[in-house]
Amino acid sequence: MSKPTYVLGVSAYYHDSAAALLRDGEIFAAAQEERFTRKKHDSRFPRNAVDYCLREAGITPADLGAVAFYDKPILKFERILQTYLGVAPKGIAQFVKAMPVWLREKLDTGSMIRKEFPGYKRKILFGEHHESHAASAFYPSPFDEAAVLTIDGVGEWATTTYGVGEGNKLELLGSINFPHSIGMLYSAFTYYTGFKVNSGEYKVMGLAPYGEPKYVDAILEHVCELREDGSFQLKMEHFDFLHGLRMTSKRFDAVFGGPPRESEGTLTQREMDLAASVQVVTEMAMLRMARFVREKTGKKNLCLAGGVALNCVANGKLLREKIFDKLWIQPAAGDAGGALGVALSVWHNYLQQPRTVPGDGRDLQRGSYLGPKPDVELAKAYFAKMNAPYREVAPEELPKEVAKILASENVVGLCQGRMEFGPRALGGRSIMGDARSQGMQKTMNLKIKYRESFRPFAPSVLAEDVSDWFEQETESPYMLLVADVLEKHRIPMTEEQKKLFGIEKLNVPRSSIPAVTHVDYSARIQTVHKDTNPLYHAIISAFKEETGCPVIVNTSFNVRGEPIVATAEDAYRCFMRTEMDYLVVENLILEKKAQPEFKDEGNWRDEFELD
Amino acid sequence: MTTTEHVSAADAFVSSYKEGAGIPGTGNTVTGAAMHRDLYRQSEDPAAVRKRDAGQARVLGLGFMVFFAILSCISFWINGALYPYVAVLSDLELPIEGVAYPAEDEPAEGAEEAQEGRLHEGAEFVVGYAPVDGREQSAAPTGVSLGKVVNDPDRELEADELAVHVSVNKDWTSRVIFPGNLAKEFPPTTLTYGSSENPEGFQLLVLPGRQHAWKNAKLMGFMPTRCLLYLGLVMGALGLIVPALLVPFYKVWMRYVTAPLGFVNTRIILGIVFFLVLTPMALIARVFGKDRLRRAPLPKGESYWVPREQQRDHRHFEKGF
Repeated sequence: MSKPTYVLGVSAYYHDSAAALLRDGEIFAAAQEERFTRKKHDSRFPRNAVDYCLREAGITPADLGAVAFYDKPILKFERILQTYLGVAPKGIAQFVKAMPVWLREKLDTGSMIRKEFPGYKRKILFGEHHESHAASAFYPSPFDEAAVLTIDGVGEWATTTYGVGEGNKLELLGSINFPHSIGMLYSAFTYYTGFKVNSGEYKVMGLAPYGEPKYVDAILEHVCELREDGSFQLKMEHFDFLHGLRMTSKRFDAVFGGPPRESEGTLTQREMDLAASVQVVTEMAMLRMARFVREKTGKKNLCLAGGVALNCVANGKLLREKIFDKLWIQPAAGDAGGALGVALSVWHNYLQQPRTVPGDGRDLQRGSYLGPKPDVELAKAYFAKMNAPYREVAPEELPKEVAKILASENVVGLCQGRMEFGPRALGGRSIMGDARSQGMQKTMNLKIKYRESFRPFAPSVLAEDVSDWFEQETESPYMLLVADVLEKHRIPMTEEQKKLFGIEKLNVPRSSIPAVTHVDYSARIQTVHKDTNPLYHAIISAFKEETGCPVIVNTSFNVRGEPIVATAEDAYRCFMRTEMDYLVVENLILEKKAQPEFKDEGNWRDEFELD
Repeated sequence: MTTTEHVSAADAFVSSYKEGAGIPGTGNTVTGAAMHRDLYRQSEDPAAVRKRDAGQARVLGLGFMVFFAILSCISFWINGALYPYVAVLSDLELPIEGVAYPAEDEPAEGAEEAQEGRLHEGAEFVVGYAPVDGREQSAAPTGVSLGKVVNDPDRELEADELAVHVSVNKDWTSRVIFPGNLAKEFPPTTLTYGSSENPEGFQLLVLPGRQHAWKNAKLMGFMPTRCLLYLGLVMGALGLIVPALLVPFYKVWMRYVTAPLGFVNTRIILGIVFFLVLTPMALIARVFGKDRLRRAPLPKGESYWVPREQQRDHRHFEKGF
C-alpha cells in the first residue's frame, strides 16, 4: 500500500486565513485561522490551522506532496501598480500605505510560506485567485459537469469569472476585471450606509427587506452600467477606492442625496432603501450572468463561489429562477475557501489526478464538518479546573434530553463533532432555540448576542421535512439559500403592523416559527442530514417527536464580534458570558443555574468589535 | 421611530482590499523600523515577546558599540595626524603637567636628574614646520615629521638627526630626536623657532603624537572621543550579557528615532517614485489613450466580458504570476 499523497492549500495575508488538506484528493481537513486565534478575519499566516491539518493526518511538513497558496502575488502587485498608473498623480496616500508591505514581504510570499513548512523541500505552488474559487465551487460539488461562476471583490485582476468544469478539468472562459466588481459595488454601499467594509455586507443584505428599491434606476443609470449579458462597468467617477481612502466619491453622494452615514449614526429609511436597491442590482446582475453562462456553456448545473456568493438572498432567487437545473455553492465561499480550492486545483490540474463524483447527488464537502472535534477529556479537565458541574449522559439518551430542554424554551449551546469550515454554524458549534417561541428571537438577541438586530435568526430543519415548511425542495445543508416560509405557516400582518419600522416590525409574529422568519417571510435555511451530522439530526428529530415541529433556531456559537467557538473552553467562556441556559459538549450537559461565578479575564465587550 | 444599531466604525477600505496596512505599532515603512522579516509571525505570548525584545536590544547594543568604535578610531586618527593644523605651541596639553616650549640649544643643568619634568621616554612627537609670514603664522604646516623623546643625554645625535629640546617648567628639558628629513632642511645649528618677534624664522610646532590623541581627541570639537568609546563598550557589554537592561533604550530608540526616520524616509522614497516615475508614465499613457482599467464605456451591443485566451499550461502553478 503506497503512502497517501497530501496536498495542503493555504490562504493568508489578505482576509480570512485558512488551511485545507487533501489526502489522495479527498477533502480531509480544513479550518479557518480565526477560530484558533480568536481574532475575527485573522489574516496572519494560519499557523494553527496548518498545525491542525497536519496533526489530524499525523504527518509533518516533509510528508506533504504539495503546498499551495491561493493567489498569485506578483500578478496582484502588477494590478496594484497598474491602478496607480491609471490614477497618478492622485493616489499618493494609498501608495505610501500599500507599498511598504508589498516591497518588504508580499513580493516574497514564496519564502515566507516556505519558512512555515520546515522540512518541506518541494516547490511552493501558486493558484490564481479566481481559479481557486472556481475549483472550490466545482470540485467538491456533486456534479460531473457544470458551469462555474465566481464573483468577489477582486482577485488579481479578475473580479467575476465564468467557466466550465468537466470531470477533473476546469476551464475558465471569461472574466470581468478590476475595478469593475460587484463585490466592490456592494462594499461601496456597505460603506455608504455606515457599516464596516468586509464584515458589514451581510448586514446590508439583512437590512434590505425593510426598504424599497427606490434607487435601482439611479444605480443603473449613474453608477453601474449593466448589460443584458450580465457584464457590467462601474462608473469610476463615483468611486474613490482607486486612489483614495474612501470607497465612494462626492459624485456618489450627489447621486444618492448626501454624505455616507456615520457609523453609530441612526439608521433611517434611506439606508434601508439603499440596501434594498443594491441588493436588487446584485440580484439582477447575477441572474443575467447566470443566463449568459447557461447560454454560453450549455451546462445544466451551476457552481458558485467568491465572496458575493455569500449573498444567500440572491442565491435563493437564482435557484428559483430555474435558469439552471441544479445549483451548488461552496460553503466557504469567501477567501477561506480559496485554501480548499487551490488544494483541489493542484490535485486535479497540476497533478492531473482524476475526479469521481458519488453520483447520488451528495457533494464531497462532507457537510463542511472539516475541523477539529472538541476533546472531551480536555473539556472534563477544564470543567474540573473551573469547578463547573456537568452531567455525563449516555450518547443514546442525549438527543431526547436536549430536545426536552429545547422544548422548554431554553437556549442551548451545542459544541459537538467536527468544526464547520465556512462562516456559518451548522450544528457543530451552534446555539439552539425553539423556533416556535414568540420571545425566543428577542431573548436570543438581547441575552445572547447582546444586540438589537434587524435580522432574525436562521432555521435548521430536518432535510426530510424541508418542503413541509419552506418553499424549498432541494437540500441546503450550508445555509446559503434563502427561501420563504410556506403560506400555511405564515401569519399575515395587519396594515398597522406593516407600517412599523425596524425592530418593531421584526418583533411582530409573522409565522408559526416567528424566531426564524424575516419581515418578508423569508428564512435562511439549513437542511440537516443524518449522514453528515447524526447527532444534530437526532436532536432535531427528538424535538420533532416532542413538539411536532422539525425546525429549530440555529445561530452561531459566539458572543457578538468574536469568531465562532472552536474548543470546549471557548464554548464554556461564551456560555458564561451570556445568558444561555444550557451547554452541551459532546455528551456532557451543563446547566447555567448550577455554575459558579465566572471570573472573566479582560473585558470582552471592549475587546471584541461590535458585530 | 428609528432603529439604532450599534455598528463599528465605517472603516476606510484600505486595509480591506489594498492590503497595505501592515502591523500597527511597528511602522509601515520601506526602510528602518520593524525588524521582523515576517511581520505576520509576531508572537503574542509575553515571554516570547520579552525574548524577542531582548534579542533586538542585544543587536542594538552591539551595533552601537561597533558604530562608536569606528567613529572613535576615525576621530583618534584625525586628532593624532591633523592636530598640528589647529594647535599652537603654547596651548598644548602634554602628558605631564606644564607647558612645553622649545628650549635653548643647550640643555639646562641637571636636566637628567629628576624624571619629573621630563617627557616620557619614547613618547612620540609630531613636528610641523611652517613659514612665518610677518607676524602671521601660516595656517598649514608645509612639512610634518615624527620624532621620539630620548632622555638619555649620552645618546649622540647622528649626522642627519635633529634634536629639539622641549622643556617643562623652564627647569627641565627633554630632547626629542627627529630623523633625517628634517635635519636636511634645517641644519641643527641654525634652528630657531619663530615667534611674532622673529619674522625671519620658522614656526616649529612640536606636538605630542598619538598619545595626545587618546586624551585630547574630540568629536565635533567638544565631545571627548574616549567617552564615546567607553559608552559603546558598555552598550556592547550590556547587549551581550544582560540585554534586558537595554530593552527600555531599545524601545525609546525604535519609537523616537527609527520610526520617525523610517516614516520620513519611506515617504521621501515612495514620493519620489510616485511623482517622478509613476506619474510621468501615467500621464504619457493617458495622452496616448491607454487605460488598463478600461474605464471608457463601450458602444451598445458590445460586452464587458473579457474572454480568456489560451488556457495556461498546468505548470503555471509553479509561478507567482
